[in-house]
Amino acid sequence: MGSDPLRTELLKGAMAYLVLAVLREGEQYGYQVAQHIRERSDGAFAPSEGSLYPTLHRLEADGALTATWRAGDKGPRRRWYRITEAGLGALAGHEAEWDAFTGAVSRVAAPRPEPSGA
Amino acid sequence: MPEPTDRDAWLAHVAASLDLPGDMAADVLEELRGHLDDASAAWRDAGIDPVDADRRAVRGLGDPGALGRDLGRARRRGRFLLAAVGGAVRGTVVFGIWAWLVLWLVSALVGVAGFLIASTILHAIGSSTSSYLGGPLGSLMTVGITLAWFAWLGRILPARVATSARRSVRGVKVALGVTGMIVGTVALWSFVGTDMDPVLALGLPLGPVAFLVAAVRAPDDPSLRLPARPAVTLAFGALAVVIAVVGALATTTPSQDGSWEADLSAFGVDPGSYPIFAATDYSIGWGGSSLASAGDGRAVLAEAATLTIGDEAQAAAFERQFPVLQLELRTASIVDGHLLIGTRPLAVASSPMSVQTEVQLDVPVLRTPLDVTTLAVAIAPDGTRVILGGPDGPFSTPRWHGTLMAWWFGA
Repeated sequence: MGSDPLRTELLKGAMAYLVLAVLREGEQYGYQVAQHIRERSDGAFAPSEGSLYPTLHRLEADGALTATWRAGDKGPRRRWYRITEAGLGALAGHEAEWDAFTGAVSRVAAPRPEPSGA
Repeated sequence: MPEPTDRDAWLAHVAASLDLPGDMAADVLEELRGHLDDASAAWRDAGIDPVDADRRAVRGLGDPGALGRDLGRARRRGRFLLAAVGGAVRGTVVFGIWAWLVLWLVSALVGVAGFLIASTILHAIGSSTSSYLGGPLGSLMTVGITLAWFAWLGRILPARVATSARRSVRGVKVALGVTGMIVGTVALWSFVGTDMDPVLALGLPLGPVAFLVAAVRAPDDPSLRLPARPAVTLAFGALAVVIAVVGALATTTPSQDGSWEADLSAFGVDPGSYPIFAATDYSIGWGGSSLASAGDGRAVLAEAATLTIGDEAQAAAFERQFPVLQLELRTASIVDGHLLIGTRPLAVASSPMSVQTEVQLDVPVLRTPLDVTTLAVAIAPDGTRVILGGPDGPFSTPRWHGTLMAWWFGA
């Protein structure tokens, strides 16, 4: 499932959206973000964990996230990410765009009613 | 030495692809290492053996080269070129000024020590050091400081530029070295005008080359401090050069404080040979004692010779016998208390004789300054020369002032 090319491409485009959505619920570090995406999609989204980190760093560079080093529960320190106001704004934009996109895709893909009478 | 695990090899591969400054690369690698720890622990919790758990964790992060490049790009968001130029300019201004001051201070201390030692030696052999500091000694010090400054900057700047541009030192040092050498060469050759001499003309162009060599060999995290052993070696080396130069000069340039005699018979006759000089109330004056640069590649003799004759009648009689007053600039040196004067004048100016006659010499600036003297000569129609004044000095011609381009190519 995770190797489906269409899903992989869609996931790549939606990765920033998914990361922001997960972090909206609280501060997390990279591994936790990957786990939450996997769990909350019931395994449908199993992102290459490698693609997650460039997304996190890009969002941080853009000001959508802040990052701080802090010791984790298991001892070694981890880089914790927190969504910013700018990140929440970007997330709202992603949601609107996604709704518009999926709506349009659904409308195109929905079976057209048979023409009547002819 | 233990074999690297998959995890070590994978992280090393990421590190090689990151192209980020050291501290940023370390952050990224620590984050990925933490991820591998967590992922490996999760696989172990699921019953996988530790070695396989590590391999699965590494596989989960994918291609290390692609991840390293993606992470590097993600961290370098923004204008790389602008950031690199900003880092280079900021580093050059801040560290350049600091290094220039430190180097001059160190050199001054070494120079003072050398000067004191040399002065003692020279005093013992009856010479003085008064005219040496502005000559080859000063030029040697300037070249040394310039080379050290360029080399130090070349060693420091790559790390600063890398940090600003969010690149690794490895990724910027060759480009920065070549750019710095070109910019430094253009600036030195075209815009930096100074009192030039052969030592500076040969030594200064090596500065940008020193920058290139130092930049290419620059460490990832250079210290701002001079390494102690090279600094001490450099200081004592400079001291040795100072003493050697002053000592060498002492054997060829005598003290100008002592008295000297001059045999002028080759240049003209004494006024006492002509009765008109005894019958004329005249005096000759000199306005100064040094040459000054006119700023256009020429020098003006600041001191003009002025012949003043008592009255019109005397002047008329004087003018009939000696219609021309000539001022001559000639090389001069003192050897064993004798002023030796060059047989061919470097420059000549003349003026018709009158009650008050002033003659001023314009001479070209010489690339190698010479000790010179002046003679004021009254010239008769038959070519007889009577020496009215001089020799004065000797004193040095002004140093050639201009850019390297002008020195080497006359531009």
